[in-house]
Amino acid sequence: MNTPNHSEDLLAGQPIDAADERALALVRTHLSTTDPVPSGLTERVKFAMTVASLEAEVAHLISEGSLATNVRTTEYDRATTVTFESDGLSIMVSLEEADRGVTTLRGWVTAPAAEIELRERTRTSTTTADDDGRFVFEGVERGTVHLVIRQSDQPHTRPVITPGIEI
Amino acid sequence: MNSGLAAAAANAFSLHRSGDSSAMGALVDQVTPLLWHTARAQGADPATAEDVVQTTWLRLVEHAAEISDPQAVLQWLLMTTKRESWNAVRRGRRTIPRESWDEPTTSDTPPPTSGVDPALASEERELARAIWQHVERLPERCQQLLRLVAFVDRPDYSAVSEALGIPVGSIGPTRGRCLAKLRLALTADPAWEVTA
Repeated sequence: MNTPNHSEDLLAGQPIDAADERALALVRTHLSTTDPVPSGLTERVKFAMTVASLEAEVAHLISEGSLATNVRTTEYDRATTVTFESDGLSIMVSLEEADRGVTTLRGWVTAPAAEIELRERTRTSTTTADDDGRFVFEGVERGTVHLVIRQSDQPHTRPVITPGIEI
Repeated sequence: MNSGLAAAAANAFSLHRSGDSSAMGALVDQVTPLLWHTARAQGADPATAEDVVQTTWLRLVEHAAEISDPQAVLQWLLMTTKRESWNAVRRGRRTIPRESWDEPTTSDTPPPTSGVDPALASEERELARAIWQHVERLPERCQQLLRLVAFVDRPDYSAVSEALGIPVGSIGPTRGRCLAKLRLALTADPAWEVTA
């Protein structure tokens, strides 16, 4: 007896071997090339989760502009400013390319002494805005970052989070 | 302790609950491909699958307090994705029809136009395409199981099959029904140097 069913029973009872693993790896290859996870999906998911877990309000992007003149250059000596707004709060951020591929992020927020959190891909740092609402983060690495602003003197205000800022 | 995704998920979830805000990020990177293919295997089109994956992760944040056993997080994510996909597909919004498994379709495998890793040898892609044609001739449940099992390592096989409602022991440590069917198909295909 070597009917397909009998062979199938036999095969089913044997341990998984290298040929099975190879077959599964090829299935993975096929699906990854023909039906890849949409680019940016994981970043969108993480942002949505952060907003949800902080119960934060998402600030809107008001303007984005490059202060650098529109000259074709291979150097990344750009300085970019981005402005966000949420209920009763404005946040302005400027990016300056510093040495060795890191960026200095300077910001100003209409909430003096607010707690400012910078969320990078793998780390989080916190500072406090000065009495004029200014704050600085140095050594920011390339990638997408978010700022979370908390007004500690107004405990009933929800934290505000900015959409992703490309560094 | 095993070292699969289920264990990684349990660890990240515990860290998340103890207040580590970056723990979930890595988990999202690791598990999202599996959830994406879970939704796609349930017949969700790409736009629906994207909604489903986002919704599933948001539900995890919402329901974090109710999940008592961190070891169960991966399974919870898989089952939620499956249920959300099923609901979305049944509502009939933004979905593609899905043929029954005995009339395998090749229409949902569009030619790879973008997102293809150029480093991947075309020979390897050709083999992958060939094996997929065999997978598409398997019963629907086997297709679903193998699509997902392809994205995890052995320690997670049971979490995946349980989440799909396929009995434990259907795959791993023995080959089980679905891999056996695939193996028979490959053995019968002269293009494969596979012996039973």
